[in-house]
Amino acid sequence: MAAETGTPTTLTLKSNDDELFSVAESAAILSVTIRNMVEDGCAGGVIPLDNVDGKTLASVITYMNGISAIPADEEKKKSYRDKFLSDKDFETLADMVLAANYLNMSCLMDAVSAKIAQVMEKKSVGWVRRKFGIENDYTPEEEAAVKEEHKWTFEGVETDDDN
Amino acid sequence: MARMKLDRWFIPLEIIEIILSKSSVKSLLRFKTVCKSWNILISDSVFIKNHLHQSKTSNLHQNLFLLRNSSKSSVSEELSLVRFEDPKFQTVQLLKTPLGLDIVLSHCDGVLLLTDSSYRQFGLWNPSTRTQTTFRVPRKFGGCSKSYGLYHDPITGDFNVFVICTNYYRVFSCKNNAWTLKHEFAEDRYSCEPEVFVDGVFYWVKRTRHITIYYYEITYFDPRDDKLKTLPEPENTDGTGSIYLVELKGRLCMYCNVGRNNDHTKVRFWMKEKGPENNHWEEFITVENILIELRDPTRRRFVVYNPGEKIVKDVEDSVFKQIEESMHFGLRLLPFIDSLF
Repeated sequence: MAAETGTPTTLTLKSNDDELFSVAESAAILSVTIRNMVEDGCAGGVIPLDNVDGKTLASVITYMNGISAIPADEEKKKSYRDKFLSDKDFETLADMVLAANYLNMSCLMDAVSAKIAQVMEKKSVGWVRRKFGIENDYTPEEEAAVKEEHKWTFEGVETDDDN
Repeated sequence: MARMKLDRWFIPLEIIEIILSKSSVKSLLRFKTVCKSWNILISDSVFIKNHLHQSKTSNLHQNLFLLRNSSKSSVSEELSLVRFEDPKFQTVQLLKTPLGLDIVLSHCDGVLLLTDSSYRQFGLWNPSTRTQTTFRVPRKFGGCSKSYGLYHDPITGDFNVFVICTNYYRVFSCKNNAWTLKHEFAEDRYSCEPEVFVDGVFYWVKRTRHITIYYYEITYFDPRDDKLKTLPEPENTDGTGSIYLVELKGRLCMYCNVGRNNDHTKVRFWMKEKGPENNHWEEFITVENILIELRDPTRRRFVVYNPGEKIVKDVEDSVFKQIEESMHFGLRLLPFIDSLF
């Protein structure tokens, strides 16, 4: 498909903190958001991505390049995704899930949300509230009642020492 | 810029929903305590359906099975949760079945239909949520029950228990907590074990004899119009002798010996399209050069048992693998489905 012109088209993406990135169009259009912009003829200049910061965008572009270099082999793509996400902490994963959602990249969205679910697996309710910035809106009595109903699910949960 | 920093950790509920749909049931029940909106989300019927879909399709639970624990005595109120780690099964956890109901009759969407040796007391038990409900068979129904099936109606959300007897068919609705007599069969059915329950329909093989030759026919009772029907077999089966039915990957599967001289070393399998309204068959696999006795239609993978050599083989995507026999396989192996139902 890309052999038509001989030289692959390169796009310039701009993060919300004004960093510029060059990326091959064939890799960037993994994002449906970017693909739509290209199809609408916005690809000539710089594509502004208002909801993604530079650090996250760099990471997403690494993923785009990595995954598009793998031929159509679902097993290999899966193991690339697993390896790509293996060392990411919760904050990075949260940035990436928001970026994948904004950029409309379903394969990254699936992988990152599954990874976040896996990270949360043995975490306490307090940890989840802190990481997601959620305020506890239960009264102490209500909270105790909900907890009591599912008491066994609090067994084997990691102790709350993470910040 | 300042706004971005403040909103950095604000993850909208629709993304939280995607993340939670990939979480385990144990975590989800714990996360009901996080806040009211999470509790509402996790209890929502649409979310529960999405979560079940994720649970069925993800690799996470693909290799988890439930196995009746038979190590100590013949009666055990425990099920083992086992993980298949090529080529062995490893026990992950022991689960105690509720109220002494230690016989698993059927299962659907992560919920098991249990009874005890009286076949009067029944229970639905979800090992993921550890919840259960119980009900009884009224005395007036008599004791000729033969086959049991559990069906989760996708439209009403009701769990229905189907019981088929020699000459009648009845259904228990969990929502209404009531039994209904659905159909009385005019003729005696001849049932060839095992009867198979798929998509809320029982299928069985009916055998009729004409002079010295036996004829086999797949018969089913369609609960939607209360009629007994014949299911056409696949074309050109080249089969000799009896035909058999199992459930595989949620679909009806038929197999028969296609080798010469009834030598049972060449067996072919067909799968029917999903749903009682679609009677199209497709050829699935032909197995050769092993003596087959089908023991465990695991509904996800396919375990065949070679009684002579005591080896178990596993078919997944037409590939045979030899499995080390580390536990007793004469018992049923059920797929484990992590489900909020």
